[in-house]
Amino acid sequence: MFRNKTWIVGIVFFIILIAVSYYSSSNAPEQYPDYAIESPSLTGVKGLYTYLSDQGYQTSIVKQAPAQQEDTLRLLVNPPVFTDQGVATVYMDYMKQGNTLVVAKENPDGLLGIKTEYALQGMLPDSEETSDIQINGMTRKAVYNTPIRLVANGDDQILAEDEYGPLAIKKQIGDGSLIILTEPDWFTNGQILDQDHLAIILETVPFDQFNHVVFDRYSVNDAGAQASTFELYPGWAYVLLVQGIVLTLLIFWYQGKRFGPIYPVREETVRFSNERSKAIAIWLVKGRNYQASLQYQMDYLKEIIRMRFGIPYHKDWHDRLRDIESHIHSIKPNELKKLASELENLQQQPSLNKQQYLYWSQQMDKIRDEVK
Amino acid sequence: MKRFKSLWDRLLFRDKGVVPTKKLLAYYGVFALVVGILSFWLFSWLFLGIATLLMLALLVIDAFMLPPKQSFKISRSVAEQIERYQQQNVTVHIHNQTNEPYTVRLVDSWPTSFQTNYRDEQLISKSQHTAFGYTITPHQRGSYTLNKLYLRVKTKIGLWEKQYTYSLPQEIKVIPNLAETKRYLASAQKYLLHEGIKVKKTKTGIGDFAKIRSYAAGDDPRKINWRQSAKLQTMMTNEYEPEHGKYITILIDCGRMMGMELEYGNRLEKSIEAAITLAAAALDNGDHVSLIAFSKNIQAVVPPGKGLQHIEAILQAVYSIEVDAQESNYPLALQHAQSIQKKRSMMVLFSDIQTFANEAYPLFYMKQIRKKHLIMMLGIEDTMLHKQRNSQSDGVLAAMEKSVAQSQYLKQQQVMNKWEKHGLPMLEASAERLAATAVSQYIQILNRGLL
Repeated sequence: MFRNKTWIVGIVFFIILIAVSYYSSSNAPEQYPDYAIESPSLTGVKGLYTYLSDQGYQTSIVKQAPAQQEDTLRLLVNPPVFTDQGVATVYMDYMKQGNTLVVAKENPDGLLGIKTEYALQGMLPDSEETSDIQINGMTRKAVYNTPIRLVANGDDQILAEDEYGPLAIKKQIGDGSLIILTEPDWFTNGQILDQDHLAIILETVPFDQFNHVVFDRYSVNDAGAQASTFELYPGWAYVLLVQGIVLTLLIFWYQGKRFGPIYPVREETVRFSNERSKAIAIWLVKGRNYQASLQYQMDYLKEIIRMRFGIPYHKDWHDRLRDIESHIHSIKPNELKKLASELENLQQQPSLNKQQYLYWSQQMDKIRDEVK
Repeated sequence: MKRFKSLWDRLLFRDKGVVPTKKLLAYYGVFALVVGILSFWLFSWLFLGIATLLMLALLVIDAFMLPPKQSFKISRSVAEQIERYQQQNVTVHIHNQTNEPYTVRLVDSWPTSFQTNYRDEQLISKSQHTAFGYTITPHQRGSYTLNKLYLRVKTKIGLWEKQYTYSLPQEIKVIPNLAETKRYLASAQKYLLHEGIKVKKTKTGIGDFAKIRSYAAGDDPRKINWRQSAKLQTMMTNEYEPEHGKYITILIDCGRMMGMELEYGNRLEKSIEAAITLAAAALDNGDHVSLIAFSKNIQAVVPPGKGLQHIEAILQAVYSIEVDAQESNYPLALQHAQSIQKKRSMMVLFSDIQTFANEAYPLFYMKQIRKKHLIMMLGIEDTMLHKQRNSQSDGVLAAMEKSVAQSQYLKQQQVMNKWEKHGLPMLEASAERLAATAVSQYIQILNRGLL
């Protein structure tokens, strides 16, 4: 086929290539998803996180679901809409215990019972353009990117709004509260220092009421659809999957290869010697030809009695059975007499029904088995 | 292009290619387990991918350590003629031209009617001839063509097996089983023990002079050879034996009814075995034997011949005949028999007697032929009908079948009696006793000097 050496050399080079690429790939730029808390890129939230830490707040990044009694403020930047009702319930319980949840999402409709509406009819202002936002009676400048405005119920407190509608509201839930902002981009490293974004955030989100601010990653990684398929399950499951696929392919390869010739399927036909008698029998049953069949049986009985005892054909059944009654043990002599006269009658009978035919066949079998 | 075709064949595994072994699967399983256990503590996709690829690469290296096909020279030696049901040894000679010992398995391309019994793996040592033996048992007569021989060679570490296919065309003939014939030829008298007939029995003054032996009490005093007795000073007597040089014609019916299944094989198989035994007996006696196999047409003809070597010609003519799905043409066969056999002969027809019970026209031809030849018919007892006519009537159809079987039996008896009266004996024997019956009939006819 091929010269072995070249192949082995080729494989060795291949292995070297893998090793080299492994060590060189560690210097490649790291990819961060948008709104990641540790991300130093323009789309990350690391700036706010480090700022709060420097200000003396106790901050932490939490991957777990919120526990009940924490007395914390939780910040969810651009969380996915929870498909799992259990996750939403966990957050609701968390708020009812007296904690505050801050959600910043462009269109939070359907998330934790929030309602939104399209206020700008799709006419987005330029990203360069600034708009005026009213907060506690003061005017702040901001750039916004969403045409969505929140819908506030009667007891909701509006924290910030512009001419089209509320941009941030506060809902009272149990002992705690839910604060919703429609602009997650204000939190990102790239935009937090533009215009008055930082001021807006600090005025709407009550960081100073809590000494522990939690940056939530649970909602992004584990509770939402944003989680990567490659991080859903524990590591061993992936190992099982990959090695299982390889091993299965190897097993198929091991099993599925023919060793030997191709055998075409044999079409074996077997002929039995009773085919003629079977066909005639079926034909006779269909024609209800019972009388003829009984006649055959009588003739046969006569023949075997003639062969064994030498009683000729022309004798009638009375004589025949009387002569052999000493050899028949299963039928009593007076019954034999009755049998003989009935057999004589049978020969005269023009037709029989099925029951009679079966009964007489069995009677003659009895005599035959005795005589044999 | 050629390389591409070879690779394509290898991919589709057209009798060439590489397969993993159990050992490789075990190794890989252990590796997968280790990686799985490690992943409880540290798991990264990169590590998993690299480890898997590395392992596979290491395993694949072994697959390229195999020698090319040309480094094994292979030949097969097997008898050209095999008897049915007789175990045969087949030897495959492998010449390993490499400098490494290898473990090999092989499979040959025997058709499904051969029962094969291959050996397990065998080691072929370096630069040496190795004989690789296995046994076969054929179950069907006929001529077969063997072609390919498949060899699987394990690598040194034993992780992969490579398959090589060698083309070794060979013709194999499966001839009928000659066990009965051999038993007869070994000891005729012992073979006919049940029959109670003497193989050589002479009526006084009949037959050829055979030899002179010392006189024993009970010998005919008229047969004393006085001249020899005077020479040797003891009483000597002449011994005679039946004449030689008679003619036997064997007719084998291959028609539809001969395809009936028996316990072992079908009626035709048994008839062929019986015919060959009869031929051997006759040839052993110094008679001439000719043979015709027929169904709708003549299938095989062997002109009269003498001497035991003539059995070879008969075997070659008969070994591949098969049952036809046609009714037999008796007149044609009998005419043909007369045309090849001008002298008076004993014609033995192996056929199915039930057919004659339902048709009368062959009788006319037979009576014509009887004027010149001596005809005998041999059939095989129908155990199935026998069972059926003694069965119980536990249903209308069963009772009907029983009664029909009984009537057929009676009819057959009548026909046999009628033919007997016309001087055409019809005999039925069980499948095992068919050959013995044929031979004993022949010997009786010789002893009685009817030919």
